[in-house]
Amino acid sequence: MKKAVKHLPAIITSVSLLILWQIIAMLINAAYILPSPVQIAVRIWELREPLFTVHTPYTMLVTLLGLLISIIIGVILAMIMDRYETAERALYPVIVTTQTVPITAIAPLFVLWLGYGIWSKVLVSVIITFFPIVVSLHDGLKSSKRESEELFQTMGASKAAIFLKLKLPGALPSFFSAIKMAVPLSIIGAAMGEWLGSQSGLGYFSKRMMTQLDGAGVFAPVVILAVCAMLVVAFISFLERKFVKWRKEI
Amino acid sequence: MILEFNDVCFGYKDRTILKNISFGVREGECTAIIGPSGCGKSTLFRLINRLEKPQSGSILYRGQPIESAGNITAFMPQRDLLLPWRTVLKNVTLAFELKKQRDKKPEAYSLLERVGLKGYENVYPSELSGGMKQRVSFARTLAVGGELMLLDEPFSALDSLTRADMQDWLMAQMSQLDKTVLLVTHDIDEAMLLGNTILLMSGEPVDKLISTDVSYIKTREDIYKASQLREKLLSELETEGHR
Ligand SMILES: Nc1ncnc2c1ncn2[C@@H]1O[C@H](COP(=O)(O)OP(=O)(O)OP(=O)(O)O)[C@@H](O)[C@H]1O
Ligand SMILES: [Mg+2]
Repeated sequence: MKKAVKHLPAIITSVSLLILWQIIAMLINAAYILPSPVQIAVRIWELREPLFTVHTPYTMLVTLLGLLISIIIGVILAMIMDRYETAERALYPVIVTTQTVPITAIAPLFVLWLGYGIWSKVLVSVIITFFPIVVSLHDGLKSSKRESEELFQTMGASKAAIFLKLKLPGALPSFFSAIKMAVPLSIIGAAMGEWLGSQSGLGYFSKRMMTQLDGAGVFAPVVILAVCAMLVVAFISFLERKFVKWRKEI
Repeated sequence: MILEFNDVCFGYKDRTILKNISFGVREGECTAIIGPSGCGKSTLFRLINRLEKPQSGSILYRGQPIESAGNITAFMPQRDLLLPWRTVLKNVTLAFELKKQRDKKPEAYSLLERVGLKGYENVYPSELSGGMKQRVSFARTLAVGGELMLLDEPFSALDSLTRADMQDWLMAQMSQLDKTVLLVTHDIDEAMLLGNTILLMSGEPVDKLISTDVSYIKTREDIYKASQLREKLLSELETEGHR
């Protein structure tokens, strides 16, 4: 009951926006320009076979692979940069530079390099997501106070113990925020990769509907992408509550 | 002498903090260190903890260079520095974990009971008051268990009643445990009561530690009997602060 009350404002705004959208769409009355929410819902139902058995699993696979690889690369890079100052000075600018590259422009090249298969899409997703993960984790590891590190040293802690018992737990909240930020990015990356060259996936499906001037069909996979992103973020928030029982002090 | 400073100089970057400092600490005694804020009391502890090296001079532990001694200190920092993701109990057992000693929970329980925090074992530090955090930090220091206890303003956040309580308790501990204690404090009464010797940091930068024997002061009444000495120390501290 209490929970329902907490979410009430969000529900009211969402429903009003949907109603507003429905009214505008009905006024325009051209589904290829702006399909109404009802039309989209109907279309999702009609297309449920290909959408849910082929394209959604494919995109989610790309997303999860991208996320997993980003986390592995991110954690390793952040650890190396935390441990060796020279590595930090050498790597940090390069990592920032990767974010200035317009991915959409060079993504077609990835198809040339890695083919039409899944890996060219995973690469797009990784390039977009590893950045927030490295940066947040790096900042999180740096956030432990020098005084605390010194206290650990006086207690005879090894470098490994300082990392495991001080730095890593201290970085956990930033790590979770980073992943929550990375999930939608990784889904966008996957869809973008599919848009640019693929034979399955929600991004590809949306593009195909576009060529058929099927407005509701374009929106259907987009809605599913958004719902997937929300579900994954909710799952990560659940994990966060499980692992981070303390709050940062105010 | 368990600890000796010989002609030690130290500074951060090009700012000198300690200039040709020499003093000794006798085993089993409590040496109280007083001095104005920012004069280098915590820095002295950083040197003893080997977090910094003297620029010249030497620090000896039982006659040997302190660099070659093992883990000899139990340090209580000025700020509690408790880990917010660990419960009170786990913050205390951290000291055992880092020494690779297992199954010391009963000891941690009894240490917490000693500092008056029975029943708070499974609480997170964010739910404690400043004074309670200080007491957890104190329990952790006891768990570290080095021969040389370095206490940096251990009771500064406590109310006068709890503070008096903890002082009495620390006195009892010191006579029992036979530990050597260095105590930084800004409270003259605390220095007189707990210390056998008071070292007053003097000069700007500090170039002298003025030693005063207060071993005959054993109770709170003694402090008032020695009111002349108290006044003298207070005025000295005052002039140092205004330098
Ligand atoms: N890591 C550091 N780098 C540079 N300067 C420092 C550092 N730590 C302390 N100082 C400077 O050294 C001086 C002595 O600091 P210290 O912390 O030893 O003072 P203190 O006597 O403990 O003061 P308080 O009573 O306020 O705790 C201060 O002026 C401070 O600005
Ligand atoms: Mg200090």
